Amino acid sequence: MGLEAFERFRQRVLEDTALQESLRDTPDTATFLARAVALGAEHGCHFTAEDVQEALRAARRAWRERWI
Amino acid sequence: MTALHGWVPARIHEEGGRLRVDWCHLGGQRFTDPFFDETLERRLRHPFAMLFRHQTSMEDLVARQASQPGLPVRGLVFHMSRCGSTLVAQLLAALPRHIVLSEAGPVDTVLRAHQRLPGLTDAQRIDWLRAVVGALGQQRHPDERAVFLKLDAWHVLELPLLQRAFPGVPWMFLYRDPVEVMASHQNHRGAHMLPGLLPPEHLGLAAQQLEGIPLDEYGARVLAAICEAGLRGYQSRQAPARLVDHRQLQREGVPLLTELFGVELSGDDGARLRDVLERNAKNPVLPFEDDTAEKARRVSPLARELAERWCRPVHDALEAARLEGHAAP
Repeated sequence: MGLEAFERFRQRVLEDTALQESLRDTPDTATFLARAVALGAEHGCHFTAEDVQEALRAARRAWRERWI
Repeated sequence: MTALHGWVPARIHEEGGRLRVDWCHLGGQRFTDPFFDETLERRLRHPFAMLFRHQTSMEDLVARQASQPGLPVRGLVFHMSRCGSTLVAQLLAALPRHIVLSEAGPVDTVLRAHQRLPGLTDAQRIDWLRAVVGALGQQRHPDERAVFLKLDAWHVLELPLLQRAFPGVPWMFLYRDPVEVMASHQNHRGAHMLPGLLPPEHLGLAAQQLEGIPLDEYGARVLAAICEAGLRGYQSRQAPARLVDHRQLQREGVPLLTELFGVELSGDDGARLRDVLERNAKNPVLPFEDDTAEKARRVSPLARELAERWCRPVHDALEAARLEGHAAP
């Protein structure tokens, strides 16, 4: 559920440079996670910080695998 | 596509017989690390860069190049590996007006795309190559003026194609005593020194000749093929070109960049370049140390013999051609 919501949010972010800027301008992962969750909720995409971390782990895995 | 301002093609991969482009937001980060991948990995530590990546077709990338061609390519650096090319890249990258693409993965993927996509024409690879370099060479800082490509060692086998892609662009081929190069690979073998990366025919070998061939012999023959391609390219050069021996770099590296690539030095450029020369190019936190004697001492007798047998003749031919002079074509 949360991961699907994050996926919707991801698509939205990729189309919205203002959202991108808000998320890029984060000094550390904790701030990034909090801001992603808050911005997601503002846009009707409800997910948790753990969902974002799960998506992050999956992205890292996919990045490494594609390299091989 | 204007939404991709500040984004660069990070990787290109094949999907269902077509190439897809993964874009990473690099923002203002310059390519200053010894290798393209290191800059990328550094950027990907930020969760935004890892989580939010655009993906487009190669056709989109080519279309973008028509309207946003990127900064001009001013020099190509070819090399036999382990011979100082990273130092050259670091010297160029020390000047903020340069974008230096050092062994960039997307460039390699496009150059070797015909191995995965049968029937791909050279013209298509040239279009893709220009598009990839154009996208990586977008101006992201007001000072930036020119792009330099430091290629992977095996890309000299594609020198004619690269010259067609970037006509008139000056290039150098760097080489080193093959015994020292073999010694370096003995410690940590480069990807091209293992069978599988390069099609045997590119090396002038038949596939059956590779069966059971010892790794060191394979490596020595790869190095020889690379040097032969550099020499052949030099002899039939279509643009200003230089053969450069590793031993020249510490003293003549900077004049080489000004003479061959037209790099003009001003202000504190000299200090920036001296700083690079004093460091280990691949690990700039360490000081530079000449490891020539160390390499010669450490090499195995077999690797030495193979280097002498397969690479010495072409190394000597490169030296002779270099010493004959650097007259423009």
